[in-house]
Amino acid sequence: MTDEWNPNVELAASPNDPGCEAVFRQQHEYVDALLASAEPSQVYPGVESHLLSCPACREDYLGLIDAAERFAPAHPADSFADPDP
Amino acid sequence: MTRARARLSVEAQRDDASIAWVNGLQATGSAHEECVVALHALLLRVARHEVARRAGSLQLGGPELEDVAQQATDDAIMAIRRRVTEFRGESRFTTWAFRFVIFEVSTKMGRHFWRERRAVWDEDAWERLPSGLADSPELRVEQRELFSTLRRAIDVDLTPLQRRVFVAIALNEVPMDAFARELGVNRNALYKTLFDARRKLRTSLLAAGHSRPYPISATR
Repeated sequence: MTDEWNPNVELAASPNDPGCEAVFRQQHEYVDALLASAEPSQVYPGVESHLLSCPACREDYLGLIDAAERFAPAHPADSFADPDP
Repeated sequence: MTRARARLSVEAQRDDASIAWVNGLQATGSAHEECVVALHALLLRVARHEVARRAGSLQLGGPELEDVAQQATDDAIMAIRRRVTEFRGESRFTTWAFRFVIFEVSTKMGRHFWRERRAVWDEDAWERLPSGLADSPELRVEQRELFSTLRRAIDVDLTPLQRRVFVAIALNEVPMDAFARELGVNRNALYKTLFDARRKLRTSLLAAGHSRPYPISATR
């Protein structure tokens, strides 16, 4: 436990929270909407609630945003050889 | 479907690269194999980047990280080939595909957590919930009462499984995928237990006169 322990975060339990599996099914839509500046929290309010209270899905979401920005767009005809494997 | 969601879907469907990925994965012969090879190479780069992003807390070395990246990529490719017909064009194909490899990285890195942390597992972390951290005397009193009630609720109101999950995830900061593996359940089932524990604790706090937002220090 760290000094940052915050009961408002650690006790978050929104009735809109659809759970990990449902969020996994929509996470890619949420991320692309966010990258398109389309305010995904209005379109996917349940995803937003879940990401605020599930540390595992939040970490996946951060990784997915990073990957979507860094490695896409990509076309199958492109070369993906890693320059520094 | 809302107007905003429909617009996003239409924009994604216009994405030529996404169409090429799906066509390649659903093709036969060399066109299919070339697409799989390209996707594997792309996902491996994503996996390597993701394991590096997460590696700091696990103290894993280069060969172990590369092994996680390779395994995550192989498993993600299998899942994507099996589920490509589920891609509806609501996002770019690559974003849809990347979540599989990121999920696999998360799951596989959870396996390594206990090798470093089992020795410091703290069953009694909840007994040391912070107290008196707020700035003003009034807030300090309120916060002390809040954590006293919370400690009692964790001990009395939660089931043994809920207490074990809440202590691990919320107090000991054990990664959920690591703890799900320890319990032999999937992430969703573990989160449901955590969610129910949180809801029960909030009910206990409310019954004792503590409503959200709970007092926290402004200086921390």
